[in-house]
Parts: sequence; C-alpha cells; structure tokens
Amino acid sequence: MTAHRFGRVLSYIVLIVIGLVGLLPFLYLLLLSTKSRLDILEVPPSLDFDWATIKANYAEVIHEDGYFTFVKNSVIVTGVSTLIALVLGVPAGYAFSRLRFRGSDTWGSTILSFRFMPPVAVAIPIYLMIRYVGLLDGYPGLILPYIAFTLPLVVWIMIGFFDEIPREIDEAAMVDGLTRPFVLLKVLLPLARPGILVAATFGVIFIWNEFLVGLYVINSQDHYTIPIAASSLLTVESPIDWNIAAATGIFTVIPILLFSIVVQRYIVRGITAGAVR
Amino acid sequence: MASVSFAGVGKVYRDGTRALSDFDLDVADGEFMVFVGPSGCGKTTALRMVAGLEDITEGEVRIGERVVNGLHPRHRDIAMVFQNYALYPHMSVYRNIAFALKVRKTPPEEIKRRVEEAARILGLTTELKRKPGQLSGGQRQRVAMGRAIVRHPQVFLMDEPLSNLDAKLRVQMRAEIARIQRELGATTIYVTHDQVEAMTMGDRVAVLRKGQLQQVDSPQEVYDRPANLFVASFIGSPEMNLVEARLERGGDGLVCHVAGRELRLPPELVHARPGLEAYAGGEHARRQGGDDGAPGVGAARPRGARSPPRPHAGGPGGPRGRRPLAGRRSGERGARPPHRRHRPLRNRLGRARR
Repeated sequence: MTAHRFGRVLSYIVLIVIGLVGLLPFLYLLLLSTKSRLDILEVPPSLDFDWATIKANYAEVIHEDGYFTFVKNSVIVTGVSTLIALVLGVPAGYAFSRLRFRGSDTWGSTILSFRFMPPVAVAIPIYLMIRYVGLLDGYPGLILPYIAFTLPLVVWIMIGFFDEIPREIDEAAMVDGLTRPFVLLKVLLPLARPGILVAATFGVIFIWNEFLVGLYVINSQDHYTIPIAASSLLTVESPIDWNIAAATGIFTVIPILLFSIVVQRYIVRGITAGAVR
Repeated sequence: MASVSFAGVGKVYRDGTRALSDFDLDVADGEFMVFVGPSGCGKTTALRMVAGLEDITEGEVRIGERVVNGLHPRHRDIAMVFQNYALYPHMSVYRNIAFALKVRKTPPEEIKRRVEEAARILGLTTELKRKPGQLSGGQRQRVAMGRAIVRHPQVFLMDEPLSNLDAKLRVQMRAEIARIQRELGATTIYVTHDQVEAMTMGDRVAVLRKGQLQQVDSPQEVYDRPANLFVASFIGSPEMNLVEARLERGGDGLVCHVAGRELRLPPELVHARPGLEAYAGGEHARRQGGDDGAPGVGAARPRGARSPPRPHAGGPGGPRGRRPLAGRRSGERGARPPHRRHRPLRNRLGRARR
C-alpha cells in the first residue's frame, strides 16, 4: 500500500469517527422518540419499532403540547429578528468595508467582540430593560435582544464579504451613474448573496436555539419559543416523559435542518470564500 | 467631447502622503493624452481625481468649462476603463455594456442599438450573452472598453487597461484602442507605466515622477528633447546612455570636459539652449544647480528630478562629492544612438566615452 493510499484510508477513518460522534446522539434521540415510556431506559435500545407508539408520541407533542404554536412563535421571532439584523447589518458591513469615518477601523475590528458576550452575562440586564419598557411576554421583547445579539455577527461577516469584492466594481458603478446606496442595492447585493446567506444562517441558528433570554422575557405559554417549550417538559410536576421530550427534540431540529439544507451550498461557498480566491 | 484641465492640482492623502503636487496640465478636446511614469508617481491619482474617485485636496480640475471638484462621478459625464476591468460578474456582457445607459434611463431601443454598435466595433457580437467569467482576458478587456464607449462620454479615462494582458495581445489592443479613440474622436486620458505604450499611443505624453510633472509634449519631442535626466532615462527603449561630464567656461564659449578630453561647444548650440549657460562651472552655477532640478538641454519645463539617477552604461558609479554638482549635471546628459543628426554634441560625447 502506498503512503498516499494509507493516508487516504486513515483520513476516512478519522472522518467516520468524527461523523459518528456528531451523529450518534441525534440518532439516539430519533430512536428514543419512537419508544414507549417503559422501553426508554433500555440500554442498548432495541430496534423494534411499534408504529402505534410512534404515532402516540408525536401526536402528543403536536396536539397536547401545542407544538405548532411554539413553531409559529419561533419562526416569527427568528424570522423577524434575522431580517431586521440583515437590513441593518448588511449596509453597515458595506460602510465599514468601503467608507472611512471616525472610528471605522477600530469599530470594524472590535465589532465581533460584542458577540463574545454569552447571553447569560447579559440576560438579567436585558430582562430589566425589557421590563422597564413594558415589552415583557411578547414578540418585541424577544426580537429586540435577538437583533442585538445577531447584528454584530452579521456586520462582521458582511465586512469580510464586501472586502472580497474589488472596490473598482463600486467605482465603475459610480462612474456608470449610481450613488453609493444604489451601488450597494443594484450591484453589490447580488455579488454578496452568499455572504448574506451565511450571515442569515448563523443568525437563524443562534436565535432558534436561544434559551436563556427567552426564558426570562416570556411568561405565558402562548409565547413560548421551541427551546422554552421543550424545557417546560422537564419542569412539570409529573415524571419526565423522555420519549415525548425526544419527539419534541426531533421537531425542534427539523425546521432548522431543512433551512440548513437549503442554504448549505451557499454556506460552504461562503466559509471558503476567503480561502480560494 | 470636452477638454480637461488641471490647475495647481495637488493631492495629500489622510496619512500625510503627498501623491501629487502643483499639477498643471491642459488636455485639449479630442486629444489622446498619456500619463506615464514609474509606479507611485501620481499618475493614477491624477486620473482618479478627474473621475471623482479621489478627493482633490488642492487646486482645480475642469472638464470643459465646469469645475468638477466635489462633483459626484456620475455627474461628470466620464467613462473609465479600470486596470482589472471591474466588470459586473453577475451580469451578461450585454447587461454590462448596457448598464450605464439603463441607469440613465435611456430608451430600450436606443440601448439595444448602441450596445450592438459597440459590440460590433469591438468584435463582441457573439459574446453578448456570456458572463465575464466565461471570457478570456482580451475579451474582458474589450467588454470594459465597450462599457466606456456606449456612453459617448465627454472624457475617457483609462487606468493601465492593458497591463493584465499577455504581450502579444497587448500590442494588438494597443493598436485597437488607438484606432477606436481616433474613430470616436474622444478626449482620452490614458495612464500607463509602460513607456512603449506611451510613445506609440498618445498625441501627447505627460511624464510624471514622485508627484511632479516632468514634461508634457508629443512622444517625439519627449524622446528627442527630454526636459531632464529622469525623462531622458525613463523614455526610450533601449535606454539612453548617460555619461558624466563637466561644463566650464573656456575662452569665448563653453567647454565640456568628458573622459579626459575637452570638447568645445559650437556657439550655435549654446544659443539654441539658453539654459546651458547657467550650468557652466563657477559659483553662480553651483547655486543654480543645487539639488533641485536639472533642467537639461532644451528644457520644455524646468521641473527637475530631485536626485538624478546614476549614470548608466558603465559611467562612473557615484562620485557625488567629487566635482561641483553644477558642473557635473550638464554633462550627464548622455549618448544616444547616433542616428539623430541634430544632436552632434551628444554623439560626440557618446563616442568619447568609449
């Protein structure tokens, strides 16, 4: 066996191990969601599937726990927050990339540090502020902090993408008769689309999974987002139904999984954009 | 079409770097003007100031009668060809060329007619539907040209448009750009660091160095009568030979000491070049010929090179402090290929070296 071949086999083995580490918990979750309450603690889990149990588990999540309400809440909050963050962040990224203004260098490079702050560090102040302005227990009370969390990430990603686009394209467009805002709108947005999708994806994934701020701000079940709803399963008086919790987990993942599959090719292109050129 | 004029134009960047100083130049209506110089000489800065892509920190730039300082590029009625072409990668060739017209709300039939005309002139008719990424370098260059010529602008600005092409294509496009410019009769400012391009394409050539305009004249004149040492050494291929010599007053005229020999300068030569007198040895000459500027024989513009390049062709390496500067300077103009009959002095000097 040549060294080259050996290296190839080795790299595949490593990749498979990494893949298993990533996938196994998820597969386990999938398996648990098909079990009845009694079979849940069986290790290793059996691979006997009972269609009636599966149906019962998922039906309970959908009907009794009001799953669709939570999905709706999550979609609204995630969608609106991400959209607003993009509308604000993309032009900001463009400005940081192209224009010189007071502090443009410093802010451009430190903007990501805002994102280093974990929600737990700011959840209480955010809660107090949201309460102060009377936005508790509603969409705006979630959307505002989520925009604040996502915006630095969007700006930072977009700065990188706009930096990749030659300035001469802006200049050509200006000579051709466009003002800066229209240069961005008509010429650069199509070129920066992969970047926008990457920024959107990171934003969506973060907001979709965000738990702590949601827990503080939202009180009524009508406004629960999926992570909060899922956690509420664990806090009720009754013994924990792990099979139901697993089914909820699966439902939580499905929307974000679909979204990721749709934008996947752009994400890959986006992440490697800087490297290949 | 319109003329372009620079009046005392200067550019200082934010970090204090001076890119251009006291730049005076008039480009006539319909003229093909070439800015040439080594990199960092300010030629691109000057061009970009006409385009409105660079703030003008000193002086005035006019296009036609209008002062354009502070005017947005889109109001200047100029078209520009960039070094990297700056095509819009997501648009087809047709849309690239049509873009400026569309932005200006030209009627669709008119756009179609003009784009097709431009495509015909440039030989792009079969490529209109393709994207820039699918084109060769030469074709992209043509698209960039097409984008400029459909506009019928007052001024064409070209920033080293051929520097990314291979040598053969460059020669071909050089001729083509010159032809298109003549056909359209458009005022053109063309920036290049390639002195061959400068000599073959322009009606006039402006030689720049370190932000200073050195000489503006027709290619032939710049070649025949370089204003100073820098121009002399920069223009021409193969390079001009430069030889050190010393100029002194002797008897009733000027005497040139070179390579251990004395050459009397014919009186008519001295009369034809009044500047020469000032460089003959003596106190006065020393002051005149300080470190700033060495207006050469027949200087068109006495803007000097700050520090003269070393003599070429095996001339003495660096005897800077050895002789009075002034005396050395005038002698430094060197030998040329001995085919220009009206420069006997240089020919003799050239031979004397060998």
